[in-house]
Formats: sequence, structure tokens, C-alpha cells
Amino acid sequence: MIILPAVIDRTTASALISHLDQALKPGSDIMVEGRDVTRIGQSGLQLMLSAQQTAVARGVSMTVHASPAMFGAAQIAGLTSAFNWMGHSDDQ
Amino acid sequence: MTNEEIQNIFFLECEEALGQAEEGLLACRSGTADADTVNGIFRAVHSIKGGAGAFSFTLLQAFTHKFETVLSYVRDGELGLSEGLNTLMLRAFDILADHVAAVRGEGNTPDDAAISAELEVVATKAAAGGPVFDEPAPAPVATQDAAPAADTDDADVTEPEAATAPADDLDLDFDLDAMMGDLAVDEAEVAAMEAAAAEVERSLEQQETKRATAPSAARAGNEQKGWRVAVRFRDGALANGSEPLLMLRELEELGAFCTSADASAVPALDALDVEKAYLSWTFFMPGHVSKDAIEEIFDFIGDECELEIDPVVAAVSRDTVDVAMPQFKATKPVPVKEQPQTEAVSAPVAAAESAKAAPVPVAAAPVAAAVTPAAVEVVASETSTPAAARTANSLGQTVRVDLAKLDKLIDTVGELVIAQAMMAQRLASHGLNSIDEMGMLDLLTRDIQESTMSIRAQPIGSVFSRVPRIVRELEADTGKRVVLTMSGEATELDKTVVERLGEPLTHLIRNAVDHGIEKPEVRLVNGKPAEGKLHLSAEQRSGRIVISLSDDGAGINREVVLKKAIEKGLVAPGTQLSNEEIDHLIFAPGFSTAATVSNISGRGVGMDVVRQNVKDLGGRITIESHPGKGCTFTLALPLTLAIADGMIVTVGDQTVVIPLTHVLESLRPEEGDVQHIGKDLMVLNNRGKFLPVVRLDHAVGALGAADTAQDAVLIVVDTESHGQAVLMVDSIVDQRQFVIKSLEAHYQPVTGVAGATILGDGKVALILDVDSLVADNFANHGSALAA
Repeated sequence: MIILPAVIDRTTASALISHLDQALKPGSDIMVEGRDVTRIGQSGLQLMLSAQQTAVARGVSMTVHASPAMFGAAQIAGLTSAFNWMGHSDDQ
Repeated sequence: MTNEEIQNIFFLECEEALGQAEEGLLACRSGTADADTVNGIFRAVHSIKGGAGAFSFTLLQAFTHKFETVLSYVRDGELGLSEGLNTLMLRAFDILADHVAAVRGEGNTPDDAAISAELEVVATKAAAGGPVFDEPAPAPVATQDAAPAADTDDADVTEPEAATAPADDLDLDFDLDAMMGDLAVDEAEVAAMEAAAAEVERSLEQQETKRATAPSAARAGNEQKGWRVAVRFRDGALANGSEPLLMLRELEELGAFCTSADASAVPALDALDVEKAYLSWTFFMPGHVSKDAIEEIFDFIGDECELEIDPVVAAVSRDTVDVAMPQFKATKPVPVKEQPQTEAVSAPVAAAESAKAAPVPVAAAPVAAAVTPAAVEVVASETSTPAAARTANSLGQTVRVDLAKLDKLIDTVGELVIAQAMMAQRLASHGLNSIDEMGMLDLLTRDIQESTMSIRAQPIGSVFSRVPRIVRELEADTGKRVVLTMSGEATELDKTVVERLGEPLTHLIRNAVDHGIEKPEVRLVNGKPAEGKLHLSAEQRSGRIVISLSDDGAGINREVVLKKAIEKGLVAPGTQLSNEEIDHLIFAPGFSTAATVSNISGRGVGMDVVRQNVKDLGGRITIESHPGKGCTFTLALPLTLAIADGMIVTVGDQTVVIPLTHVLESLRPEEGDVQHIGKDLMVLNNRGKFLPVVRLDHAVGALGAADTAQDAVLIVVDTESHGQAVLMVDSIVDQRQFVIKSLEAHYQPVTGVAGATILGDGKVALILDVDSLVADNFANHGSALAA
């Protein structure tokens, strides 16, 4: 499990890259725990998109447990369908 | 956390959401609702819907969707609040509560076909823009929030005026960090996002509501002309500290919806540069929003944004968002050379925070979990991050305990109390009754006992929360209007008492609305407002919970009650009864003054049930009725069923306990105070009021008791069915708390005995059931006593 910090801006996103990269081991399943996220911007969304697609490329199942803030940011950006959410249906 | 635990959290959230929605809907009905109120209702229903979808509660999800659709029209000002709509929404709320109860396994799935159809019809009419109810001009709610576009706290900026607000109204001197923080931390902002999502959702889920599909198509916006807004932020938009998503949100607040998102440029993790902007979007903006208003959103970012705004004449679908995702070839993880493998599992939260806040090397971040070859498990330690700490704290706030374990604990504490009392008595017999250690033990035992009992305590609000619905249903059935007020919902009492309160309370409320509060036309004639008042309150008073239900109705018609009682043979003709006694006749089994039997009342069962239930709870009920002005029922209940206060008395060779709730006073009679009637009966002249004396030695079969009243102590008690009476005992030994042991569970029910307890000397003492004891005495000597 990867626990995301409350704020994902450029600084924290940069620090998260290596951790996500390490966690996405081929053949594993990973949960990204984002329920504490209170603020995420475009940098953070890009990071999560990159992680999601990297996971796909490595055959890793990545699930995101999002806070309302995180899910809301993805909704604004029209990107809810890009992630495997836990606890949110696509039509939310 | 297991699925069950997560689901239980959802159920708790449902409770909160239902409470919020009900409060809002009642505010709508009372005319005190504003835009926030409607938003709150929408959010509550929406959150239930979200959870329902996540847990595959499809029926709940489908119903909330229909309800939410209507609410969205209200929120957007397309459907004005009216009496008809308020009634419909409250009915929908009740069905929603039933759905939630059903998924919790607390009831059957409600039949929502009729209300669903009504909701769909309303949604369809609202979509067509025509009249739905006899409502006032639409949009009385949403327009309250119409504000300049720069007001980011406003979740309901949908009016064209807002979109075209002059630029000089915009406050550009804002704190970007604060705004970004507001992106979702604040509930209002979450609401804004959810509102935007719900807007898209309306058309997405038309398939679910097939009957509404065709008429709603026009509203879905497929034929609407507007603007195509293509946005792409350059790298500088991120580098200079601005946040593109805030601007996208502003677009949505003006009514835009995303039609496509291009993420194809996002690289794999090993090539990701957080300083770069990889995303671009296309939005559709309704035509009523001016091009200037759209451009204003992006004004301050200048050249760091590529913005194209083109008029759209073709139909634009918002059924789906086209997302172009990046396609990567299969890759391997990037080795992180500077960190040993075990340290790679350091909580990223900690690493990220440290990277941001201080030059602490990543390797120094606390290692919180072990690595397994299969997966990286990261468990935030207590010190890893404030966020993780919050999570840990929140998990630590409650512990779910099996009720059986709790009951076992309470039983054991009861035994401890008894053992402590026994030890105290043993020590006292050796002249050691005032040692300090005993006092300390006594104090600690009482603390443990109270703490244990408080674990079982629950707020009475869980029972009160059902009352508004009951009243609404009664209003609908009787055509009466009732304004319900409640107080003291936070008052706590034992879980068992709370659970058993529902039924008597329901009967009392039915009685108050059906029999107490008059029909509006009658009230108006009598100079009262058309709407009746009903007040339900709870408070803790002298170690008891006192629940009162007051109405401003007609009060008890004692003439009719007495006449009915005589007709039914409950009272002998010519009997002189006090007002209190007449009032209590309504609790007699089978008693009803209703001319006809309805589905509400009239069968003469309800009030009898009330009295029986209250009695079973060890409580008492009293009535205070004022003809033409109203009636108050007061229930006095024990805080717990496990421990009670009692008076320990001796009678002959027996020691018994009289529950203190019945005791009014005790006295040694003077000569002449007690008069004999016939051979066995005595009455006490208690300050001019003659009360029957019950010889307790006869009742419990004690030997060697005082034979005359002058040698005895008389305890004046109050009973439900026969008013005041007097118990004749030899002496009063003590007055203290005692642990109630069920005689029924350990032996069998015995008339006149409510249970047993163990005294300090280890002997078992019977706890008297004063009501049945006195009633039994009346049954044996009824005519003489009544006379």
C-alpha cells in the first residue's frame, strides 16, 4: 500500500515518483491509499495517471482509494475513468 | 480494515446523511431553507448514492439517483419549492430511509415503485420547463447564490448574469494556496465538485430511468449550442505556482462540462517531470455564457495557457468524456540506487513531506513496514505524517465490542458490587465499618459501575429520530397539520431502554395526533392556529430519564372517557373518580373512545401497550390534561435496567426491596390514623386522603410481622393503575442501589415480585413489583377498597 500525503503538489509529487515506481513491481497488486488527500493539483493528477499507466504496462493492478478531494479533482479534469477507484463508482 | 468494517462506516455515514437531509427537508417545508440547505440535502443524498454504488446496493443506488435528480432541479432553481414538492421529497426521504434500513438488514426493501414514478414525472416536467406543482416562480433557491464568477466559494453559479459579471467585480487579489486548499478540503468545495459531477450524471444515468428518457433528452443538452473551449496549460502554468485545476473548476461553475481529456502526453513514471504540464482538455460551455466571461477565467495566467474558444452549432454530447490515455511499452521498475531496498518502503508520505519541508534525506525517513517479495506494504507509523496519525487516531476513537461481552462485563461488575457490599457488612460486624480502605473500595466500585453502565448508554436521539416521520405519516392520514419540536435528543440512557422505547413512544404520538390535536378547521374555530403543536423532550432528572410529550390539542374529554369506561364495565356506575383516575382509564386494556377504528388508533390497544412497556422498563407514566388546552404525557424511566435505587425493608422474617420510584413517603401512624374496614382491610387517613393499606406480610407470606399499624412503618407508594396505596412493613433497613437479578430467568414469574437482589449479608431479597402487588390486593378486596 502506498499512503499519499494530504497535499500533492509539485514538490510532494516529485518525492512520490520513486516510491510509486518501486511499489509497482510486476505481478503485484497495489493499493494507493489517498483518503487523506485534501489537495491535489494538475501535477498530482499527472503523477497518478503516469503511475496508473505504468502499472498497466507492468501488469500491476493499481487501485486508488480516493478522498472526496482527490476524486473531485479527477472529476474536474474529466479523468475519473482513467483510474481504478475503490469506493467510487464511475458514474458518481 | 475489512469490507464489513468499511461497510459499517458507510452505514454510519448514511445515518449522518439521512439526518442532514431530513433536517434540510423540514427546513424546506417550514420555509426557512436557503441555497445551502438545498445543497446540503443534495450532498447527503448524493453521498448515500455513492456509497450504495460502491457496495453494489443497486436498489438503494437507483432510488437515490431518482431522488437526487429532482433535488438537482431544485438546487439549480429549475424547480421551485412548493408544498406539493416538499411533501413529495419528504415521502421520498422516508422511502430512502427504508432503503438504507433494508441494506443494513433492519427491514424489508420498501416498495418504491409509486414514489419513483412520481419523482420521474416531476423530473420530466422540470426538464421540460413546464409547471410541476402549483409552485411559485422557479429558482427561488439557487438565485440566492448567484454571484460574480470569481467567487470560488459559490457552488451554484449557474445564472447567466453571474457568467457575465463585469471584470471589475472580480477580486483577483487572492491567496492561491488558500484557493488550492479550498479545492476540496472545504465541504462547500466538495459540494461544488459533486454538483458538477451530478450535472454530468443527470444525462449519464437516464438509462436507469427509462420512463424519463425520452422527455429528458431535450434537457440533456444534445441540441444545445454553445462554445467549444480547448485548454492546454504550458509548463510555466505549473512553474509559477498557479493551479490549472482551479480554472477548470471555474469553467464548470459557469456550466461547462468536459467532453474530452488528452493525457496521451503523460510519460511513464521513470520519465515524468513534475514541472511539465502534459494534459489538455476540451469543454463545452452553454451559449448563454459570454465568450468574455470564459476568457476572464484565464486572463491572469496570460501566455502560459493555450486557449481556443469556438462557437458550436452542432450537437454536443455529454454522455461520456473521451480520455486519451498514454500507451507505454512494458517496463521495469527503476532501481533506486541511493536507497537500500528495505528503505524503499519508507512511507512515501513521510518522504514526500520531508522532501517538501526540510532537507531530510529520504533514507532517514522512518521505516514503517517490512518488505515482502510479492508486494510493498507500507504502514504509516505514528510519527510518519500528521495525516497518518489522524487516521490512526480516528481508528482509535471507537472500538466495536460484542454486546454479549459487554453484558458479561456488566454482570461481573454487578457481582463486584454485591461482593463489596458483603465485605462491608462482614467488616462492620467486626467493628471495622469506617476504615479508609473500605471507603476507597466503595468509591472505586461505584466508579467502575457507573463507567460500565455508561458504555451501554445511548442517546435517546436514535428513538426521537423516527418521530418526524411518524408525525408526517399521521399528518397525511388525518389531514391535520402538526409542528413538531424536540429537545434533549442527546440525553443518554441504557441501550435496552432505548430499544424498548420506540413502541410506547409511537403509540403516544399516534394518540396525540389522532385524539389530541384537533382538525385545522376545529382549531381555527376554537381560536387556535391551524397547525397543532407537539413537543417531545427528554432530560435526566434525579437519576431518572423524564420524557415528555405535550400537545396543544383538546385534552382528555373526561366525560366521554368515564362514560366509555362505564359502558365497558371498567368502572362501576356511580363510582366517584378523581380527574387523575379518569385520565388513567385510557390505559385500560381495550379502552378506546374512538368512534371508528382506523389504521391509526381506535382499537384500544395502543395506550395499554404504552403503560405495559413503560412498566416493563421499570418506569412510570403520568398524564396532565387541560381540557381545550392540551395534554402532556410524562414518562419517568430508569437510566438502566440493571441497577436501581431501592428501599430495603423488613417484614416479619423477610427482607424485601421496594423500588424507590414508587415510594412517596414513609411514616409511623398515630393512633386513629388507620381505620379498619371489615375484618382484614385498613385505610390510612393521610392528610385527609384515605389510602388502602396493603399488609406486606400477607402478600409475601412473611411470619412474625407487626400485627397493628401502630407497631409498623407505613410506606406510601404510587402505582400506575390504582393511584396511591400504603405498604405496611416492620422497619426500614437501608436505602441504596441494588443489582437487579431476573427471577423470571432464574426461576419463574411471580406475581408481585419484579426480581431479586443479593444483599450485603449474602442473602437473597425479593424486589417488589409494587403495581402488581397493589393490583392483586385490589382484586382480592376490590369492592371494599374502591368504596
